Amino acid sequence: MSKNKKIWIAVAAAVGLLIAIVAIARSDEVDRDAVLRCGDMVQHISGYGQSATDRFVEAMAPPKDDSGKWYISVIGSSRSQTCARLKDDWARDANLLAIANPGDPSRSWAHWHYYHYGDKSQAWRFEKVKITHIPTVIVQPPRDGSYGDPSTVVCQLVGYNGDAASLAAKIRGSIRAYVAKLKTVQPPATNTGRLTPPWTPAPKVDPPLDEEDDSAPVHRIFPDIDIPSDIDVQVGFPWREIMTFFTVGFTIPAVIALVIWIVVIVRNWRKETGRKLYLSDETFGSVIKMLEDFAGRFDPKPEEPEEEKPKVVSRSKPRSTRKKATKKKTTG
Amino acid sequence: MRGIVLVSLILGTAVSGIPPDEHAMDLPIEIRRWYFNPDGSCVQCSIGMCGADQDVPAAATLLWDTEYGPAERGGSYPERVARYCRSRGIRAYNITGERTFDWMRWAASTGRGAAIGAGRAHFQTLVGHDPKTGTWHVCNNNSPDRIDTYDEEAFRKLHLASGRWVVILDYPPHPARPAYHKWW
Repeated sequence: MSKNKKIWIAVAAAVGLLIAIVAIARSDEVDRDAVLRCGDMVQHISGYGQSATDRFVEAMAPPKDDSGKWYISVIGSSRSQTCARLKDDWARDANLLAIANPGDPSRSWAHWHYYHYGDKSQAWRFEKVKITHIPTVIVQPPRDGSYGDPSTVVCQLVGYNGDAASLAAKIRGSIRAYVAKLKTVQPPATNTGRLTPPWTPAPKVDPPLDEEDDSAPVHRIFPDIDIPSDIDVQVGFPWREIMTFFTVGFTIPAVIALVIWIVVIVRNWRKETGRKLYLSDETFGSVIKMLEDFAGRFDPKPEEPEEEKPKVVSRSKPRSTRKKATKKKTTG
Repeated sequence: MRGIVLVSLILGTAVSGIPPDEHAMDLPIEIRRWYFNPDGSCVQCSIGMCGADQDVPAAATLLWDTEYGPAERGGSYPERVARYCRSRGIRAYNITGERTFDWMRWAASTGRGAAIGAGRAHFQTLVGHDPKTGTWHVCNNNSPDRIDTYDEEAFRKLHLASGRWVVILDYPPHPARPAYHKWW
């Protein structure tokens, strides 16, 4: 056998061996026979334990489209009492559960995520926003684009003092304000020894909490504008007071009602046009309430109806109780 | 709230699924590189990417020893996936058979990635699908720096070459990367 022939045979054998090794290695990655044995199967692994859905079932349709859900992202730390409290409250409080149900994503109105502050596998998501406090709650529109640019921060809330209702109201208020303005929206590892991930994953079980209580009332840091939590001051046109001008003449309650109406109209106009408001919604609401109370003092009090006196029937002889009792016994 | 839900329902039906020009999965290259397949662990690499995308640490850390469980390395099959998902408390859909294409479309249209059979005896990660152009976007854990695109026919061949098997994590999809826009 010539030298060249020997070389070619050696090369061919080496190539053949290489192909065989690659083929064997690749065929190990997915056990195709096992896949074929499963047939038509949708197995829903619901976390822990064996459930009925873990058994082989007939083909099951995919769940409904949930791309139209809003997003609530909570950025917290496992070492913060406030974050732990917020997480717990969100799993229990009816006001927060109505917005997002962390324990039951399929029934949740919004998609809810709890991101651990400093988790490198997720930190890049928040590069365009400033996370200065924890817990931070970020509200975003759905990714299907039905409410404008899905990257838009509808509101960024920080702090939590256990007032879940207030937090829920602030989220609702922000979503309501955003929806109202929607038309203007511009729009490598080694396998030797212990295998450690290339980042520190979020803890499975939250470690013991710091002693310090870092709770603070919820406040909005974005957008930095005055958004009513839930209730706008609404005052209707003072028809009754106007009528009193024509009938009785000028009265203090009528003048106050007219002033309130004009002030509310002006304030709502300033709010809509983005002008500066001199009073917060809460202060404004209490001023209006005070004026209304003041006006109420001048209202004539309606006359109280006289109590109807029980009729006293005079009898010459008292009725015999014994006789009546006897009668009752017989009819009973 | 009732009003918002109503408007959401009305608009939600008008606009369905995430925009086709946007990938369902959003992971930067640096994170995808963590899931480079070193030793024939393609199924775990693919599920791990989905875990990182949906912020499910128990799934994202499949390849490594952590408090969520021991490293899962090497070749896999549906029963093994079910077993380690159970032991780690991972909620997932483990789908085989005729309906895998429906499930892949569902995952992509709702903003979720999917670990899918793709290529002979191989698993890759479904990154997105554009139903208008019939384009599928897939990240191969042997080349995580790039996203490969396939037309319907090529994708069908790719998926069938491995066998009809898909794993989708049963968790909400990630939000868009938040940014400040003056909306008021």
